[in-house]
Amino acid sequence: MIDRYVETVRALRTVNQFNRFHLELEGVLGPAEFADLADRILAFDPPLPDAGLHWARALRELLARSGRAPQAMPGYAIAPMAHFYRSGNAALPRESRTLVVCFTDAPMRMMMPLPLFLQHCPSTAHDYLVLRDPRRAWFLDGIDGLGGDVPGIAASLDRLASPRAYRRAVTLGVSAGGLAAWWTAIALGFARAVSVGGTLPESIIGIPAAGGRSTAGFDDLVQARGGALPELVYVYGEDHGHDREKAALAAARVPATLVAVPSVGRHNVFYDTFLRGELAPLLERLIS
Amino acid sequence: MDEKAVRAILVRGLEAGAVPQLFAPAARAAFLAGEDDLRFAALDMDSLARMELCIAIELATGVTIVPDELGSYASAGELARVLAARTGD
Repeated sequence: MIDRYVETVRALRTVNQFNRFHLELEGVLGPAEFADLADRILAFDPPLPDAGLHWARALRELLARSGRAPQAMPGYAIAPMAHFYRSGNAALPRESRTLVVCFTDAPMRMMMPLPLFLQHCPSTAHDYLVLRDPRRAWFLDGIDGLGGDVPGIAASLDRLASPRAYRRAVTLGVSAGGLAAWWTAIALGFARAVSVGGTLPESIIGIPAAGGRSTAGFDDLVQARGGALPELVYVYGEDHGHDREKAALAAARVPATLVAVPSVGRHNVFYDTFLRGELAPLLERLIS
Repeated sequence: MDEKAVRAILVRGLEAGAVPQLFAPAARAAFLAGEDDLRFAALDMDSLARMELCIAIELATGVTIVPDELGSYASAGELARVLAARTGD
């Protein structure tokens, strides 16, 4: 990993090129993978460019705030924008494990760098599948290699991730990934679907950025299920007015459980709770 | 590159950083049409959003603006005019 990093940064010239490369790494590395890379970057001789040292040091310090060793969660790609991570005893069979399908936000993060997010996730017998949408289209145009729309993504997950073989399967979508998380969980009959400040159909329809895309399939699916729905959870910062309004709209649309996180006034619920040392218990509550 | 094209690049960059004001149809359309401006001070931009905007600018125009420099522009419209001038048209 360090060899590829060094080779890549040798060709980078501008701050923006460094930022882009580091954001890409932050989007796919697991906690222990990142920590190992950061330590090697900081120890490399001759010293690497300041942009790399600053990035490695800053994120390493954030990771250390969890108070525990970086979690070993080796990841691999099942598609260019879909990465799978396994925590805990890898020898445990699927029927003893929980699958968590994560839908990222518009910047393709779980509201924070992925190593930091996974470091705070439940670590006993959980598998995480992290999906990113480079088209920034709320996953409505699908993911390359996994289908051309949300139902297509769900069908691919059913085939590739075998969610029915797990003890339990849940989805967790943040911001622009919220609707796809609910939609996918309903389509596949998961136990729970969590949307954190997530987009709703009414947030998409009619805005120019939507380009005429439709979310009618979501409403049709909810109707077709006739009440046989996963536990639908909507999480928002208690003091964030816009997300509080979205939560009320969500509850009017489907039978959702609303979770107001106290004293959070920003859309980014995860980062605010991380800063207060409360992210791990929140994720434990949402996922397990 | 004319100013209208640069404004479209800036909108894509701001969307990449999930800047919420970009999802207000009227404000977005007025900015794209050059009929209104977006003041940076009024946008909810965290460090990630500033990075994403600068990356988008560099990829699309070849002009390097670093996140710390954004503070020297009062608005996205002012930045669009500067970039349009630096890229030719």
